[in-house]
Amino acid sequence: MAIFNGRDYSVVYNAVDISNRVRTIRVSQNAEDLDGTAMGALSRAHVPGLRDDRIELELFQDHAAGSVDATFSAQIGVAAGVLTTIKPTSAAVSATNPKYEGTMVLLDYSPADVEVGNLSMVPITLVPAPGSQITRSTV
Amino acid sequence: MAKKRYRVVGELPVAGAQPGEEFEADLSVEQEESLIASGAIALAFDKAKEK
Repeated sequence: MAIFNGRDYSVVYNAVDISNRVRTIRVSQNAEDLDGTAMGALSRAHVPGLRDDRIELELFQDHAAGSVDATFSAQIGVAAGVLTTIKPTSAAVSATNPKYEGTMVLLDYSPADVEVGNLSMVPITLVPAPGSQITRSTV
Repeated sequence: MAKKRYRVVGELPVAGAQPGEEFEADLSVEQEESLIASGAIALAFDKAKEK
């Protein structure tokens, strides 16, 4: 895969394929930046700290059975989390179509956040279940 | 845990099956309960086992 137009991303949350309700995706794999700088240093010493990954989505709201609202509203704050998988395309996972996957906890869900005349959008923030992180896999 | 047969009754695909289709899966109790409660899936009647 060369550079590509991000128009076919696959997003599966708790086995439900929500791809066709997704407008934006941000997968962040981060480590905290600890300051290990001591006297005598000539430059800042950045020490990688704890991982702090997250997935942020913006979805089109849909109150139909098994769709956005029904899928997410039951998962708010459930510490066990659910498996969430994101791929660049809907094709099978491969070396050029890696999956980013984690057991994710739903922290923020706003079922209604709309201004008159606009589409009803839903911002979602997912963080890894305690002790886990988002992993990349090509198989 | 034995696989069970489910039908996708919600608006979105589940476990690779499209709405209206059936699939077999070994879902955890929690996942089965949440997907049924959300209206995504329903337990499917297995005609083959009834014969």
